[in-house]
Amino acid sequence: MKKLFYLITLSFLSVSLHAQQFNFEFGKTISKFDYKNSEGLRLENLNGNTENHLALGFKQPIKRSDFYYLAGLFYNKYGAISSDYNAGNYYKWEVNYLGFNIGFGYEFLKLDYQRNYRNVNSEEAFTFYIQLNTGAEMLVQGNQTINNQVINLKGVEQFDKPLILGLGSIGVNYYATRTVFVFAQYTGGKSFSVFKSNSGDTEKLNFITHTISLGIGINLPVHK
Amino acid sequence: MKRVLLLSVFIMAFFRLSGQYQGIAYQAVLFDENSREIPGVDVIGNYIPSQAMTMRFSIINENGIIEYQEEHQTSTDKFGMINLIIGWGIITLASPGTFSDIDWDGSPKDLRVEIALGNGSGVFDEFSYEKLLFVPYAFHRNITATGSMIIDGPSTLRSSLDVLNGSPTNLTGNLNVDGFSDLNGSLNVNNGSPTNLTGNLNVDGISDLNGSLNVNNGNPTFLTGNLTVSLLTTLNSNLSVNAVSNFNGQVTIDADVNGTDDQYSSYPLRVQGSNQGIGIIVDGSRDNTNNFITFWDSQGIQGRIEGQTDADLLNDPEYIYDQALYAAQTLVQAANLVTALAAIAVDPGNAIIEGANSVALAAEIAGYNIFAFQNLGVTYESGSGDYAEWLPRLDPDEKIIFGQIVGVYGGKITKKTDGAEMLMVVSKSPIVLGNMPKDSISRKNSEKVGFLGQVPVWIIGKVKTGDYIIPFKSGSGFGRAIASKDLTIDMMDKIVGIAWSDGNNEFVNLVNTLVGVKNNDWIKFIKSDKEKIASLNNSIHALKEENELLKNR
Repeated sequence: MKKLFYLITLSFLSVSLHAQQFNFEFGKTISKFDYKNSEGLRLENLNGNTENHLALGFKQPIKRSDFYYLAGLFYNKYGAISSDYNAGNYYKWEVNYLGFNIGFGYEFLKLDYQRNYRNVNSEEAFTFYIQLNTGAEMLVQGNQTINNQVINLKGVEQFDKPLILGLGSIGVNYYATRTVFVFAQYTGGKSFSVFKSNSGDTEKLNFITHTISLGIGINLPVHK
Repeated sequence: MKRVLLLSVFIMAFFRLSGQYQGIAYQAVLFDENSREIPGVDVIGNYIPSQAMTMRFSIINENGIIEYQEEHQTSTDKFGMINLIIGWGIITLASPGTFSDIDWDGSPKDLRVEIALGNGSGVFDEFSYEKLLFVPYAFHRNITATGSMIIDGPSTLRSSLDVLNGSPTNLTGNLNVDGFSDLNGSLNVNNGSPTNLTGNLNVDGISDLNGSLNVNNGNPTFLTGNLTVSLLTTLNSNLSVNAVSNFNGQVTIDADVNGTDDQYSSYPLRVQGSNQGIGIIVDGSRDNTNNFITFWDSQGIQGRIEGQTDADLLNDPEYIYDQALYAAQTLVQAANLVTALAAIAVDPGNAIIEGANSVALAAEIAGYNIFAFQNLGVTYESGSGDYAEWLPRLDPDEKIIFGQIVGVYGGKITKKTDGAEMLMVVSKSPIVLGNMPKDSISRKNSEKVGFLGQVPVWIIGKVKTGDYIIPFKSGSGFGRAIASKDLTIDMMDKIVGIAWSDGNNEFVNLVNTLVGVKNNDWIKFIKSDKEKIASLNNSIHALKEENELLKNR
């Protein structure tokens, strides 16, 4: 499974070398653990954390339309805290995921900008877009703290298995030049596991994320 | 049901004075063995708060038998903890008794803990089976115990030991006290157990002995103070008193020291060691109602030594009798003297004799009275009536009994009266008995012979009071009575005595006879002879006168 993940990531990377647009994104992800125990009960007092988000992406327009494909790699950190007053326990999770996403987007509401952004004669302008992504991510590193005990989550099945992403984004680009643009983006989504537990664990853990990010991108010249 | 892990923490059992407060404190924390599910690694070992459950405690002896069992309906607190008192729960049907019935006798006992989660009557799971251990070392400021304390090893108390509430201290073994023992209460040694003291016993207070006091091994008992005995004092051995003994109560000597009367050891009371005998003081003045000594036998009083005053003497019958005799003798002598003086010219010698007799009689009377009044003091009085002496039998084999008339020959007696120096009567119970034989053989061969007083005499035929008693026949021992008018002069020397009682039996009578007292019938014969002599003298004188007349014619 991991090998398949890395294969797909490299494939996108190779494609992104020829994409029309590269971007680098950084931001904050507000993550929330969507958890149900084996009895379907949620954990009380389970609160999310705000962690860092990094991503690399590319966009490939679809036949000169406003639609485009997108692909990217991201590095997300999720976290949550909780406590059990009765038991006197304190819980904290910090997990780092590396993943990829693919999807498509649609630019709209281009302000002071030509419809075809591939036109190099464009001036500074805002463009709004929406995107739909899917992808997968894998645990790179993670810790769980129970009171004063720190536990490495590497190898813990709930976390250390590929998660499937479903993301939706909305953002705005600002083309500073024809080449360089900056953007601000909100991405909301959910990471969930679709794989059954090898140990028969019936707990369910998903991540609900809200990412606010800023980025910078460059337009690559279009090969005719 | 969730499997739970119960971590039990025992706290030392505490027992208080009241059975209501007996119990073993039991604390436990309920942990969830199955862990608490959280994202990632689940939490293991979380305590379970507010968990309802039923706890069952069983105390089991070394033979596996349940000695006590109870159940508690409880729930954990917010920290998953339960606090229970084993002994305060609901006793189950399987429990043979209450918690206070458990015999903590030092034998091994186990505690089994079972738990059933939930509010209902769930299935009990045995959680623990542990031994109840004794505390190896206990350091307390105070120890309060309501039950028995059994200590198999030596106990060292570094401070005082107080046994309160009047509770007894029972020791089955020896009590060794190296220091002083101060008893602020009484000391009771029960069950007839002896109290052995190897040292001296000093008692500053009063010693009350409710039982006997035995001083053994011949050890002496020294009393430096007074000895007051409220009840009988029994001495089973000799009592030696080296100082004055004052008896302020009646003294009775009841000694079983039988024997013959000639043995000093036969007498219960013996007085010796002094040149004086027994001194007796009676209260008040002596008289005939205050006896110095009184003699009893099985038939009652047989004699007494009593005081005698002048009034007693004057009223004494014997004194009165003696005075009457003397009065009679005085009259007779006075008559004789008058007669002699009347015939002094004829017989001057007789006048002199009668004069001398008168003087002698007067002297005898005076001497009697002087002696009688000077020797007033005590009177020995007895039912016995004579003064007697022991006189040996002439023939030791001759049988002589009391009341028989005997003749005295050289101080020895026999029933043969002819030619005897004196005629006397064998006494029965003389008041005074002299000439005591020196030994028993001499006594055996002697008889008590009445010298003076009243003696019973065996008389053949009837007797009247006042009759003279003379021997019936020599060798018979019997007497016969002669009336005064029938008395002849040849009977005078045979008179034994005068009968003082009657005897109406025609054959034999035992008559009380006065012996040893001079009678006056001699006077009668003397007077008769004198009259005859005087008559003869008168006749002679008359004849002489006629003769002279005839010569002168």
